[in-house]
Amino acid sequence: MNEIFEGVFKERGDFYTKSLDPGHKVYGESLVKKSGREFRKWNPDRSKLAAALKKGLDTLPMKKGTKVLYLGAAQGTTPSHVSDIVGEQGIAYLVEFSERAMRDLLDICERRVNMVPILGDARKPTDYGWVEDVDVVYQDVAQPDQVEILKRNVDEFLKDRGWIMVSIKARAMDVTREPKDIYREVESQLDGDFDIKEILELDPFEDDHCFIVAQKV
Amino acid sequence: MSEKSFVFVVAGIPGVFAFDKDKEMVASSVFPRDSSKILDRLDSIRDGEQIEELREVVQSLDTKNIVTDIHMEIEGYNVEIKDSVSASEYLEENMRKLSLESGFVEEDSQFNRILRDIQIIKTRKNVKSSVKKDKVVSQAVSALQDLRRISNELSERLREWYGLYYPELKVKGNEKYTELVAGLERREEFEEFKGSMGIDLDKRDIDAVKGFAERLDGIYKEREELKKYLEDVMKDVAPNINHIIGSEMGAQLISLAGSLKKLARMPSSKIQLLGAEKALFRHLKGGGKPPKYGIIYNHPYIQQTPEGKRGKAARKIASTLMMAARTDQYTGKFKGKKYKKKLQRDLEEIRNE
Repeated sequence: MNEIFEGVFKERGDFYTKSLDPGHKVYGESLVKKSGREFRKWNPDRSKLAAALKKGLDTLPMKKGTKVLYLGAAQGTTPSHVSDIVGEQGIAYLVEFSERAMRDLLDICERRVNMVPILGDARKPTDYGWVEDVDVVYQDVAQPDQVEILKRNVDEFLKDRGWIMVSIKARAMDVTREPKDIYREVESQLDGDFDIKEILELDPFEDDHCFIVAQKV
Repeated sequence: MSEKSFVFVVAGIPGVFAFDKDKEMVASSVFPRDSSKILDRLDSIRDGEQIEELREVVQSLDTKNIVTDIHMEIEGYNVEIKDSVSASEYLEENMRKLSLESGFVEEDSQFNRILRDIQIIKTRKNVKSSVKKDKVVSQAVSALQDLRRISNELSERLREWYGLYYPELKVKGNEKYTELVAGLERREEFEEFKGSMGIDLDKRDIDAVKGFAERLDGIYKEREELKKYLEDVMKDVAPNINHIIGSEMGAQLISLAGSLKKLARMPSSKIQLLGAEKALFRHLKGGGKPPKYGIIYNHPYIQQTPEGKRGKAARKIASTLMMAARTDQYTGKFKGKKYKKKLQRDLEEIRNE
């Protein structure tokens, strides 16, 4: 196991995080024990962040103690790995709109002390205005107005020089347009407010998706 | 009060706090590190109870003048109650820092854990109150469709299987056929039996196929029960939609939209195409004709309309459904009769054009 980022490990092309909740699987991932520690294999077909790592992501602005606001936490697959990375000193505020998904997410939060569930609409950040300022806003919402949603949350919660990590689903924005055009448009919408560090297309793990990492200027 | 000194008294997750007008913390009494006790305390404060932590903070003040958003009356104190005070915001924004400074927690991870515990309790409550009866409708109509699919499939199997033994048994309707096979022991018991070219089976073979037919008969009965149940629930949940288009298709529309609320917020053009997403996206991506209708195609309203006019009929039905959905979601009144009459008149006109 090579630690390629703080808390993220790589072995034979696969990525792992050190489990905060040893002995338990979140989504059927395999567990690997190495020198007394347990690692959870990070499946790029299930998690867009793992797919981005597979595609060579160089910038991962998360480590022990990082505070993350996660928009679109869904059933908690990726959030569980984020929870592993930021550790007990860090925290992940998980916003999810669907009560069906929230039911599954709550079971995971019960087992992980740094995962804070919020049933709410990411379009309305004032509904969860009590959340503290964070180091990273992570967004995976697949909505046509997702850039607008992102900006509202950034204005409300992101620290100066904080980071955004965004998954863009071209089909959710406009099915009739070329994905590459959409990525370019998103890039120009973010330009000015953010210093874009990386844009990666996520094929073959996810079709017509790209992943952006950028820093607030 | 402005010339005299005063303090803000506010409460939050970590406990009860007093700040001076420069937002310096002058007193605090922290809650126990236990999420349900904290929520209890906060509820009590909201209900106007003078909990121990509140009394403690107030008694330790060296002024009698208090500005607060907590509803309290204390003998001997001059209390000004406001809807919101800036100190509450300050407490919320600096909750982590103040939790550490006041000794509510000793380190970040303790704070994280308590915040998580509190949010789990609150979120569970929110999930419970946000799941509405229309979710039951969605599940029931899906179950009904599952049963229909499965019973058709199993009926085909039964006909093949029993057909080995008694191929001459010709009964229209799978349900009837199943009931007959489930009810009789041997082919000779059928009234119309006049010998058979089917193979002979012994009792064990017949029992096996009969047992299968009995289970299938049970599925048909369950299907009927579920249909009646769906009719009942739809009358409660969406009486207007139900009256216009029937319980099953109405429930299907709610299920496809995701909820009654979502259906009520849809433009009628979208309702018209619910269930035709595949064709719609094929069209938008530049292949194929635009679809004219989704699941409402299967309704007799459309089926009774000549082919060239079905698109127009679908538009009328969808716009009526839109009104019905909004009436169901937002008013709870029953205007279904009026809507239906108007729709039937309009459809008649379209057919006669």
